[in-house]
Amino acid sequence: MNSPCDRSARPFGRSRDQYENQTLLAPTGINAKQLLNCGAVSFPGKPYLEDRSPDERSFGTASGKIELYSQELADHHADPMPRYTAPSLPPKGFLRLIYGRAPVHSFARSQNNEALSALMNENEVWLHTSSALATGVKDGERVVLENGDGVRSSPVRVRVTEGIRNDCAYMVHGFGQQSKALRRAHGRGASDNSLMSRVSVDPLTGGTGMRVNFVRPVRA
Amino acid sequence: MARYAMVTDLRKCVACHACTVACSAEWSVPAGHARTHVRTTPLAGSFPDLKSSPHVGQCNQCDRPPCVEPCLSGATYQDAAGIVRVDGDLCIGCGFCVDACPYEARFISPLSRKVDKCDFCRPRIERGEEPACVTTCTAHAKYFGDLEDRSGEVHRMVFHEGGRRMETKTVAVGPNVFYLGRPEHLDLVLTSFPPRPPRLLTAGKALQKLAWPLVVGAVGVSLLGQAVAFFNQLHKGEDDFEE
Amino acid sequence: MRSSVVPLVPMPLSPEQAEEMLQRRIKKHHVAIILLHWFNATTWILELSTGAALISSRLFKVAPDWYIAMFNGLFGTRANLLQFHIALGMTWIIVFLPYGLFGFRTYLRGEMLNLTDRDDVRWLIVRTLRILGKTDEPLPPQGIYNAGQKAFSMVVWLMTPVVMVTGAIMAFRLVSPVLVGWAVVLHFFSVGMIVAGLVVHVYMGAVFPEEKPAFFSMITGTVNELFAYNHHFKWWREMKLAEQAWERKRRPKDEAVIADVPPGSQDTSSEPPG
Repeated sequence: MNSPCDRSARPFGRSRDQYENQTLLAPTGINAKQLLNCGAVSFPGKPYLEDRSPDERSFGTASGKIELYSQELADHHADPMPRYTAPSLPPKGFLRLIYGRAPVHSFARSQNNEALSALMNENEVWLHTSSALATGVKDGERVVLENGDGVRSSPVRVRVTEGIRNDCAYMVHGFGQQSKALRRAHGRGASDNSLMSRVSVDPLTGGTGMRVNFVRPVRA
Repeated sequence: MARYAMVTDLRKCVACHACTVACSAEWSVPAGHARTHVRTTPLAGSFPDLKSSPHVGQCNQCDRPPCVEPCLSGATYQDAAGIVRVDGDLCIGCGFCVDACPYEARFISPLSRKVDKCDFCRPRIERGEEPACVTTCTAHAKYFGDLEDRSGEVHRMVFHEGGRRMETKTVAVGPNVFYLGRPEHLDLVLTSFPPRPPRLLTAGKALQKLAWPLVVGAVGVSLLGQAVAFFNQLHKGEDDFEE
Repeated sequence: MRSSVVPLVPMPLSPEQAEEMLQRRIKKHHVAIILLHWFNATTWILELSTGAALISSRLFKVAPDWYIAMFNGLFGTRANLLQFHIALGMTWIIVFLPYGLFGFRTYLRGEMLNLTDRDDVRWLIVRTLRILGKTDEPLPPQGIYNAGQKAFSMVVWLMTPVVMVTGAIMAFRLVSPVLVGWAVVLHFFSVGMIVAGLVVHVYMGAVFPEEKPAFFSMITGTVNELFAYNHHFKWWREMKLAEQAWERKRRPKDEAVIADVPPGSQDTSSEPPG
């Protein structure tokens, strides 16, 4: 992905200067040169409704309210409410790869932290008791996950649990770090995103669905 | 005088371990040990009817602390505000107190080679601050206060909102860390992490049951023998003994 | 008439012989041992009194609460009390080490460790019964140290290294906590065994009138010859024979000295005394 400051990139068909000053900075009231001079500017916001005055309490929609039915989308001949599309099911022998967070770590950026890596230094792949039985893997065993496109993860420990659906495999995101400079995190656990060779993009909003990959455990 | 206590609301706790990290940072707790530990009960039930609860444990500054008695040198004592403290200058690192704690709240620090444990951040309390874990808790699940302060939230939570002690029929030493939560979750925590009956280390038992009686017996016999000899000596008079 | 035959067993002495022997002094302890003895005595008294005060746990204590409170007050804080106990203990170890490492052969003499002599065993029994007033049987002859002293020294030699090592372990805790816990037990036990023997040693040495010369020998280094003859006959005999051998070497031609004794056979074991 090209950085927005890359001269060759022309997101939304504008020049860099236009993009920086008009698109990104215009709402803030300062320009790029001022920002470069002071380095950082903070704009305290009011994320909680109770801190806003009554006139500050409307949303950026035509009605000013949160809209479940979007008139704006209807006017553009698009579905005004999300239309259900059934997700594809995992092929035989595969499980849907899902991911989440652990309360100890923050995304993919705290895995090398001395205190936090001491509390949790690798992730596990959660399999339901029946899935484990079906694939023959045991609790605590190390496996490699292979997705439908043949991509393989690094070895990861299995946790057999009742706390997951029997058609899913769950991992905490942020592990399987490849950089050797992250010496506490390097090589520990597996990376969920390395197995996400496919994403499902919503054509209207661009939102990305990443839980559309299917994996199966393979002996490490 | 105050009677300090803590309440942990397990409905709010997310097991993020921020309390453990804040405490370790505040008191330079060596890696691999913790003054306050966070655990999650094993999952009970089968999908989708599952039950689990986090649990945050530490020294409970008990009403009747079983760790005080086995302390050889008296380094462990309970102060007037109910906090069980360890005088580092008096601790000889024998570890008799470690096994005596039903909540496994004590450990021997590999750095000082003496006993370490939570003391409700005594120095912070003296400065008018709250314990580090309470200040840091990301879910605002921990509360600290004086049980005797009827206007305080800790008093209210313990006496009016059902704050519960982790006690069983056999181990009821009056811990002063109370828990709020759904009754089935509190039950689960109690069965998953029950307080252990206080134990004396084998060395401690050897000292109490073997070495002590032997030594006192031997010295007693010696003293008795010499006492008899002395009375004989007085009775006979010194002339008898001269050459 | 002067008898130059050294008796094999203690014989009754004439008043003149006894008086003469009372006036002569024999060296029993040299300065190094005297210094060590009193250094030990003071150190042990201080360590024992502070040590007893340091055990405050209801499960293990040996001293009453008022005693413990008194020592707490004396030292200001219990931490000070512990520091003193450790500092003095380490001083004792450091002073004792040269004795242990270099004075080995002098202090750990074979005869001191030998308690299998029939005289020694009988002495222990007779001494106990006599002091309890149960018998008037005479004590069997003893060497430089009697069986009681030998028994006590064995206890001390066995237990002192244990006290030192366990004390150092507790002071510095450079081993696993499990070993520190056991060090506590062994420290208590070894000190206790020494104390049990010490009670007897102090009584016999300082209170019991029969051994008064022995007490003073720990200050002057000498005992009178009569005491040696009566209480440590076998040692007296050794000294006497050595003295005669020395005399003979000095004045080999002096008939008056060796008149009764055929040359080379001064050990007239089978001859009755003249």
